[in-house]
Amino acid sequence: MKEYLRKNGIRVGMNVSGILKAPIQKVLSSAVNWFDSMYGYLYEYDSLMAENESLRSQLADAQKSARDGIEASEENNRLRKLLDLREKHTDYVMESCKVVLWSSSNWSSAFTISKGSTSGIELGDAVITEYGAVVGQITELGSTWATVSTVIDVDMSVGAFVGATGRRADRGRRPDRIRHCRAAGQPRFAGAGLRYKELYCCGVSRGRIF
Amino acid sequence: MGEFFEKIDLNKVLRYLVFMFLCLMAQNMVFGHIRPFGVRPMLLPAVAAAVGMFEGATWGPLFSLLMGYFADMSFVEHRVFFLLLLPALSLFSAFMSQFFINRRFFAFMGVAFLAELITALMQMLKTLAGDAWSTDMLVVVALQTALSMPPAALAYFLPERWSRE
Repeated sequence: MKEYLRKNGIRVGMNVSGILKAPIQKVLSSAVNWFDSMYGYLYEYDSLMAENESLRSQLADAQKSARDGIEASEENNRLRKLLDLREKHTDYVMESCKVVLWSSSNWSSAFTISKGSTSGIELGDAVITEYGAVVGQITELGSTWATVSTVIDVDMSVGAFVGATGRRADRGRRPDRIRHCRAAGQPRFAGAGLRYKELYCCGVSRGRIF
Repeated sequence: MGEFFEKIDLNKVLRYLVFMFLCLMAQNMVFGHIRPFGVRPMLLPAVAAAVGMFEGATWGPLFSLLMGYFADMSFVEHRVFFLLLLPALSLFSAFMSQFFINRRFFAFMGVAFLAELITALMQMLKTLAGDAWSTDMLVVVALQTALSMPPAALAYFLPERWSRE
C-alpha cells in the first residue's frame, strides 16, 4: 500500500479531487449557462425582432416586385396579341380601351368603356378582344365613354358562321331574319347561364346560344 | 317661399342624401359583383319603400325620384324606368302605412317584398316586349325577389330611427 501510494500518490490525489469537484463544476456550469441564456433572451430579443421585421419588409418588397413583373408580362402578352391582330386585319381601325363599369341588371348584359366619340368610336362599332372574339356592339356613345351591349344581351342580334361547313345563320329572334343557309350540320356553341338565344338556320331551330 | 325652406330640416335632408349615395354605391359596387345563382340582388326598391313609409307621401316619392334618376344612369338598358317606378313604389308604401299597416319591421318586410316583386316583374315585362317568352324569366324574377330580401331588411333601420327624431 505504501509502495503503491509512493508511486501513484499524486495521480490518486488528483483523481479523487477531480471526482469531488465534478458535481460542483456541473452545477456551476449549469448556473452560468442559465444566466447566459437569460441575458441573451433579455438583451438580444430586441435585435432579433428588428432583424425579423427587416427581413419581412424585404420579403414583402420582393413579392410586390414579382407581382408587378407578372402583371407587366401579362400586359405585354396581351399587347403582342393585339399587335398581331392589327397586322392580320389592317383594314380594321382599332382603339384600345378599358372596361370601367359593368351593368348591375339581371336583364341585360352591358358594360361601359373608357373611350368615346373623341377617340373616333361610333355607334354600332363592334367590340372585340385581343384574340379577335366579338364581345358586343356600341349601343350608347358619349364624348369620353361608350356603352357596349354584349352578344348575349336580349336586344342584340348578330350574324355568325356556324361550325366548319361554312353555313351562316342569324342569332335572331324569329326565323324570318335568316339570311343564308348553304349546308347541313350541327352548330357548336357552348355557354352557361340563365339567358340563351335560339339559333336558327333555314327556318329551323338548330340550338341555343347561352 | 321662405316659409317652405324654414320647414325643411337640413340636417335630415343631408342624412338622406348620404343614405341615398351609400345605397346607390352598394347597388352598383357591392351587389353588382355578388351573383348567387347567377342573379344580382336589388336594394333600391326596398329603400324607396322604407323612405316612403317613414317620410310620407311627399318626401318619400321626392327622395325616390332623385334616387331613380341616378339609378337609371347605371342600369344601361333603362332610360326612365326607375325614375318612374321608384316614386310609385314609395307612394304605394306611404299609402299603405298611412291607412292599412303599421310601421313595424314585419309590415315593412311585406311591403318591401311587394316592391321587389313588382320591380322584377316590370323588368321582366320590359324584357319580354323585345324577346320571346322563356320560363327562365320567372326563375330570375323569383330569385331576384328572394335574394333582395336580406339586403332589404337593412333598409328599414335608418329611416325608422330618423323618423323618431
